[in-house]
Amino acid sequence: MRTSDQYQKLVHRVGRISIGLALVWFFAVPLIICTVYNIFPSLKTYINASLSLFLILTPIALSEIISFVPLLGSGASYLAFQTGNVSNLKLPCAMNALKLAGVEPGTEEAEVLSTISVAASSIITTAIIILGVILLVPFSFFFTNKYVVIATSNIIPALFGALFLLFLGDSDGPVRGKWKASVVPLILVIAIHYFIFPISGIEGVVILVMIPVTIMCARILYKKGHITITKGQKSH
Amino acid sequence: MSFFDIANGRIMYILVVIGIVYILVQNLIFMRMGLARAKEIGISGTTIKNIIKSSAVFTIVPSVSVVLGLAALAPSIGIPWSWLRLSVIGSVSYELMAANMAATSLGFSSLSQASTSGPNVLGVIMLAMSTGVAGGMIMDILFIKRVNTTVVRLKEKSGDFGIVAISVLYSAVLVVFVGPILGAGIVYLLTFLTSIAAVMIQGIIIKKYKTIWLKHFVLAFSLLLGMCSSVLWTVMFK
Repeated sequence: MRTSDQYQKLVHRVGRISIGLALVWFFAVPLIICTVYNIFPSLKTYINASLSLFLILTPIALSEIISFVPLLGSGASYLAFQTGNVSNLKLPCAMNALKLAGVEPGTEEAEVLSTISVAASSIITTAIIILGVILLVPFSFFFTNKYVVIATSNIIPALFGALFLLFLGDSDGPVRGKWKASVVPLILVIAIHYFIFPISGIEGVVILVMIPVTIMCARILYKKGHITITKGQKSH
Repeated sequence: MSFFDIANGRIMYILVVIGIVYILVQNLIFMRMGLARAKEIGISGTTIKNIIKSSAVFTIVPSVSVVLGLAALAPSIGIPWSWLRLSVIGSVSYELMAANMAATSLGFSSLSQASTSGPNVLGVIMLAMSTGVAGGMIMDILFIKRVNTTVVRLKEKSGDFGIVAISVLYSAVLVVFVGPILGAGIVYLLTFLTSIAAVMIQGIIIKKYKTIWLKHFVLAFSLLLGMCSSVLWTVMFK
């Protein structure tokens, strides 16, 4: 049997190569199109159009890495960051999988299970988008139906309502009372969003600030005995 | 040739399909690696099956909203490029923003105006969108290993508190998304509360009728119920 280190090395090697190749292909497609149809922009136009986008998206990506990798583990992170829709799809999916298995993030079981969960989720998403591409024209009445549009534009409160109760509750996992650590961060987020500046669009950066705040709250509550650990609770 | 002759052309489709096949292969490679390791460390087949089942079912509803993003993006930059962007790296909100920003930086008032101006704009928009995410992809290559190793080391150093610290991390993510929902209007708030109620009701059903299988679908059903309820709240309050 391989050691944990050997498995991790393999995951990082495969992950880095796969993201590297995806990056090459992401540039290859526009470059081939520009060459074939002779529509290359001037360097100045290209820089004008790209620079602000690059400067906005890169720090967001970095904040997401710091925030989400500890939860997803390495294998799921390479896959999730490569296939996108991380905070609204892959992360909730992986967290739900870990909760069902009764394991906490940061363990080897969690690393493996979240990889399987994100891979399964990505395959389904890719398949549904393929179906969407095929059906986009014949089923345009469905995609433009006003009730479908209303329901999908409300996916965020529906998703986070369910996640909020599922993850702050104590039903699974060894840690009891962890919801208490989220009270102060929630009040802070509300205060920042409504009284200082709206955080929509920069959630990744705000998460980065809230992580140390939440851990600090958890530390105080743990020391005072308001958050406790029940040892030896695993379900698989 | 017009913007859309190229954007929805055969060459574009071929290049995009190669990208999609590549991503599917990546998924299968990671799935295989995960399954092999799960077997090695003794995770039961039933646990794996349940996780694959619940992940697949949960994914269906949010994926439909990705398809709606495709429907929103395709009229401006064509079907295949939208397809690739929403299957690889992108998310619905970032892709719409990225394409719009690239168009406005070229002096157009909107993405749809840019797409009527001729084929040259397509090249710039595609290159700009790729450059926008390139930084993030390079960060992934450089930092995922570093962050993961640091977290594992910190967890080992912190003893029992390490378990607590990791378990509350997701709370930090949740509060950032939940905070803005609470004051975003009556429909958002009621949808949020309906989803919470759906989780509670299913919890009671599982406990009372011992329907353990339902546990794997609580998130998916709550999401669906919450979204459907939003139609009712919109009709009633808007």
